[in-house]
Amino acid sequence: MNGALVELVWRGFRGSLVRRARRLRQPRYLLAFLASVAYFGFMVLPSYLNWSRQARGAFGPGAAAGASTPAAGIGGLAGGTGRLVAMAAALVLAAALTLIWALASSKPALRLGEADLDLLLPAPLARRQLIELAVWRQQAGLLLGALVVTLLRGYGTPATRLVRLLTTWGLLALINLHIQGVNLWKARLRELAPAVARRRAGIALAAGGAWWVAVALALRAALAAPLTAATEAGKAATAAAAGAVAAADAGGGLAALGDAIRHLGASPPPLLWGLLAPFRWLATALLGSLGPGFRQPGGGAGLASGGLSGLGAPRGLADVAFLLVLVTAHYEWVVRSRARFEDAVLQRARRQADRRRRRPELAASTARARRREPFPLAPSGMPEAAIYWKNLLIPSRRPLAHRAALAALAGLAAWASGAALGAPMAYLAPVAGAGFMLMVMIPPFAGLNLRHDLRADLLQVEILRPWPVPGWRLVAAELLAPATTACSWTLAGFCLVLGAALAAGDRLGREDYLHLAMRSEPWPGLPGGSPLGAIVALGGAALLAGLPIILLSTALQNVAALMLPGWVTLGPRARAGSGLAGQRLLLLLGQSLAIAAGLVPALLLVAAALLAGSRLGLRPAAWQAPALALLAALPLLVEVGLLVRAGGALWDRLDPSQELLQPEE
Amino acid sequence: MIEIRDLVKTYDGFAAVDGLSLAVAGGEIVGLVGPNGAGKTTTLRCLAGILPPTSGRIAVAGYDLETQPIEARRRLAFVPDEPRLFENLTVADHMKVIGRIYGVADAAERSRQLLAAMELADRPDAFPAELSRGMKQKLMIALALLHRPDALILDEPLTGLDPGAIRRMKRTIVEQARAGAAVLVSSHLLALVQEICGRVVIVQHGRQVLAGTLAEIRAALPGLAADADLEEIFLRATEGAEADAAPAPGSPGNEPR
Repeated sequence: MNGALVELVWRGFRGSLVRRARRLRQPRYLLAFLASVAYFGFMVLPSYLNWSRQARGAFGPGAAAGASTPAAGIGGLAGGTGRLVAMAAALVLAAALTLIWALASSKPALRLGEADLDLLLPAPLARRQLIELAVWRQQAGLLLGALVVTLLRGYGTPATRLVRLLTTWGLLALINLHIQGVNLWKARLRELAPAVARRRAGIALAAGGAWWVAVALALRAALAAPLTAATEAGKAATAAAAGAVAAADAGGGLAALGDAIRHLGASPPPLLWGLLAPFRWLATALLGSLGPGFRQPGGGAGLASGGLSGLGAPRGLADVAFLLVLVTAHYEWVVRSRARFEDAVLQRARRQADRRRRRPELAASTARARRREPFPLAPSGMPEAAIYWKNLLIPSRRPLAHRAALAALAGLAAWASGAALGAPMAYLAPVAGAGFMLMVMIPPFAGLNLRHDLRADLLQVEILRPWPVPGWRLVAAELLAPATTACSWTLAGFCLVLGAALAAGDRLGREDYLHLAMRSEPWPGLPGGSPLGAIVALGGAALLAGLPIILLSTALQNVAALMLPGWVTLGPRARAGSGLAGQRLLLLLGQSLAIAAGLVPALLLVAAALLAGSRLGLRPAAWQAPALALLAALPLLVEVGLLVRAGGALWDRLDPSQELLQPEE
Repeated sequence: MIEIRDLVKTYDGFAAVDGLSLAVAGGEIVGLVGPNGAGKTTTLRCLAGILPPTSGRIAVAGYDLETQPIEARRRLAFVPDEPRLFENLTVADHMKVIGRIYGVADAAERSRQLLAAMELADRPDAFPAELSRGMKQKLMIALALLHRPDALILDEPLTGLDPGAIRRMKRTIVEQARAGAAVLVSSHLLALVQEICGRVVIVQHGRQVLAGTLAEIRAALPGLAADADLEEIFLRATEGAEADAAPAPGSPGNEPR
């Protein structure tokens, strides 16, 4: 890369570090930084430095132990299962790659900012140099993400850690470069003569199609023989056992398929194994590096055992070498592109600037849609209602009543479709499971994902600060809109569970799939013992406990934004991109820890109530759940109140001139 | 109505505003002028309650902005130099929200009047992104006037407006003052300041250099023509202050030894 551009990348990186470091002059940033360092120091580093649990390192003795079986699977999994997992992961990767090629835009998405466009595009620089600049700029974010992932993982020697860091970075870089390469390749096609473009696209399509056909044929051939044998055996068994024909048909078919798959894992056909090889190696590196469950007992990342063992390379080193070769090849593919990216980059920069200023989808809305409002806002009354109303408009102008109706409609659809299909549990259980997941997963993470609150409004601080609303009341009002959105989702989840339960009818009592999903059988103490009543009771309890958890989750994020606005991404939308994987992981970890800490008083109170009940001879029962949820809600609401008061004080003291209240690029 | 006493605002040790004092009575229009970086916008933002002052006292309609912020804010309106609006709210939505925030009982009727006066009556369903900069500025002004403020603070209010809108804006500012509001205007358009402001405060390096009516300022600067306009006064005052602040080359203190 051009020396001046290296200087630009370096100075830009150094400048961003200095800018962040300068924030540490403010005591609250310094405290937050020290708390993070202390967390890593006390929680992560001890396991990081505990080498005894990881006696054999990546390059240590026994590193090549797994390399002795050429057809071994992933990591520590048993041979057949490991091979099956390796093949399945390879197929998933191949499918993802196919999707990237099918769906990737033909507009190159090189990340160049507005300043780059104004200053560097007119400069005497080669196209390759500008592409290199865009690629190199992303590496700091990717490396940071890889570092966080490596730090948060289990035990290992420094060498193993280094291997993990490099393989994780290599994978992130590879994905990034591949997407860029496909973008540029497609952009180039658009510039070529139609006949040439068609020929090139045809060659790529034929190569991809031929590969998939070959894999499908090999897979079919591999499964057909054992399936036929198993079916023959099943038929013989069926003839012998009169009266059990249907059961044997169903059970025998599944058993035969299971046998065929096991056989595939035990001795994969060489053609299929070979066709999947590149993806298998990549999948093995990915799962060996990212998934502790797939780690080699010796600590290596596992690629060598799965793919390059034949080369006799030590584990870990082979992973890195393989990935480096792939990354280098991709890098050359990207930077050698002759596609014209300037227009697309300009458009992208404009789109980004536009997105900061407005949401393009708003422009397309009709006049009628623009007049819709969540609820009629009266001109007088508490000003907080106006803030709530305004924030509800950010994700959607849909009236609140419609949102509730949609949730009910989801339940109705679950019930109607379930009943129409004859209420098969194979359909109803996943529907109820999806509803259950909505109810359980949305409350703790609502604050991370729904941002139409102070984080959006901090960018409009010049409008908000002169408002005659006390700080704590403003903060409280800001929490309500995301809480309402999250509640409507949890309500939809409850309706799905209820709809599935209603459709299941009397089968619910017999087949118990939903009982298992709800983990609360056999509904002791419920009047009439109705499973449906228990579902209503448990669902209602989840809704009652969900609301304060949603408020707590949102309050935590808003107070964090007020306390450390320079470290929190502002604006109604979260930032995207593979370079932010580490940051997102840290955020998720921080939010999980904070929610877990916030739940402690509520859980203690519930435990105390259950203990008191058992002393009084009261057996735990589903009908008690709503009362317990209300009890748990009390300390949670107190915590929310304290956070709101703290947030209000921070808002009153906030000095926008000392903060960087801007959405980050 | 507006009273600023010994206002100081520092950024990392740098004093953007350094002991500024000024007062604007009800019905009066005061112009705040100064070169770039003089501390005008910082002063207005402190006055609007956006930036907390490092020290000093600010009062609006008799209410101290620090000890009685809600009462003070209820009586003031601020129009920033850059019209920043809520991207998801239409023009009508903005009027509704601000009406409710300030508790304007006749918000609907007043909104209609103000939007008509600002030539936005036919765009109630437009989002900010669909408005030109001048129209956004007009919407900001309509929002500022919705609750009939006692104190009106305008930072570069005419930027981006067409000549017709500039004329109407000047008329609006004067009408607000006639209705009893205290108006503080910051602008680089010295002709505008000279035309509509009864008094002028010239600031530089965060300090007040000169203040008073044009006649008073002319009298304070010897050697100025009797009909010298604000531009001449401004240049003379700020260059003079610059010369006072830094010794000129060749002056005794700067002579090579």
